[in-house]
Amino acid sequence: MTLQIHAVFEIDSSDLRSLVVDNLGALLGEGARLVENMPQIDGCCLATSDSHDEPVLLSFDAVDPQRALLTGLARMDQLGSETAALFLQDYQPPAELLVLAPEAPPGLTLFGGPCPVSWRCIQVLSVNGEFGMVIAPLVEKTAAATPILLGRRPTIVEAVLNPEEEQHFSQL
Amino acid sequence: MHNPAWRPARLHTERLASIQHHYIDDRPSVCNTGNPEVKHTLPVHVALAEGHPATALQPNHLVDALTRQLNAETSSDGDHTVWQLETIPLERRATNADQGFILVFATANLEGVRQAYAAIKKLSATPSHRFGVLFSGAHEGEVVARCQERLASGTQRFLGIRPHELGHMSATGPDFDADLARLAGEIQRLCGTHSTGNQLEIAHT
Repeated sequence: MTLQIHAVFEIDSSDLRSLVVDNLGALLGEGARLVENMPQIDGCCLATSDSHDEPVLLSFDAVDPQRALLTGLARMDQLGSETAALFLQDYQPPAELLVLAPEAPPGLTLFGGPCPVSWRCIQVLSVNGEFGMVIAPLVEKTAAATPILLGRRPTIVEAVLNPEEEQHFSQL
Repeated sequence: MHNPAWRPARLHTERLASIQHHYIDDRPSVCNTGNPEVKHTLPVHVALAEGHPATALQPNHLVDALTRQLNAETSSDGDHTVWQLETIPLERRATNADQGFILVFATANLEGVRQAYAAIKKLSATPSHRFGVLFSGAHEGEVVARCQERLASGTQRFLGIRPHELGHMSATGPDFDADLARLAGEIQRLCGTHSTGNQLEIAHT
């Protein structure tokens, strides 16, 4: 039997979503699952728990890594707000964003700290007319983004206060 | 984890805060007796920290309620002064107000104190300016006292001035009307005192 395999550049978001759900174990480890009772956030995002029961938001796009990153960040912002907690019982906002795209999203290395963002390489294929997904092996270098420290612009207050005043107003 | 038992009370409070403007007149009620009016502009510097509680007194609520109160009091006294409150963001250094008293409205926490100090420092370049500081957002009186002490000691030490302590006001509660009347009375008294010399501290409990 001959396998007809070719890369897929256009896939319906619901098909891609199904592929990601089918491969949660491969992406997040054994025992990974969808978070129950979560309203659908976006066609290209999924609220999940990884193998350690840590909440992870998945944002995926078969073609455009930048779109996957930006959509994921916007949803992280929404899900991290207190408003979300008002509507969901025992709510725990996602602590991590995992972007699934064929290439690393531009700007990814700028993230780090309290909201870790990581990326896994996926490639959607068509095998004899059926969709399939190749998940690149987890490589330390690509899995953990190295944050770049940016020079922070001082706030208005910081610009006004001199070091002696800063010292005085460092605590109540 | 959020305790579901708190939600109704919290939602109720937020709802009240969001609709409170319906119960406050947009325009101050001033008696028009045909006499010429004197406009009195009170600059209000807003020094709110990012964590300013949603249930605390908000700047627009303060400005509306205080304008109404000040004008109601002058109207009942037969005075023809019309009070206007001018909100000034922290970035702005100058005010067009024609008198020297500036109200600083700050969150009762460290960031609020820092912002209040920064505002006073920027505006103190004009020597005729005097400052009154009103806090909101504290759950305990001790926090307000610490905020007042830290700010006063800093302005005294670095700027050589001591702002008038106008205390703390909550957004709601049985004491709101009394606190508002007291605040308006203090402001009228302070604005009526044009001395630019040493400022007296006004203690509040």
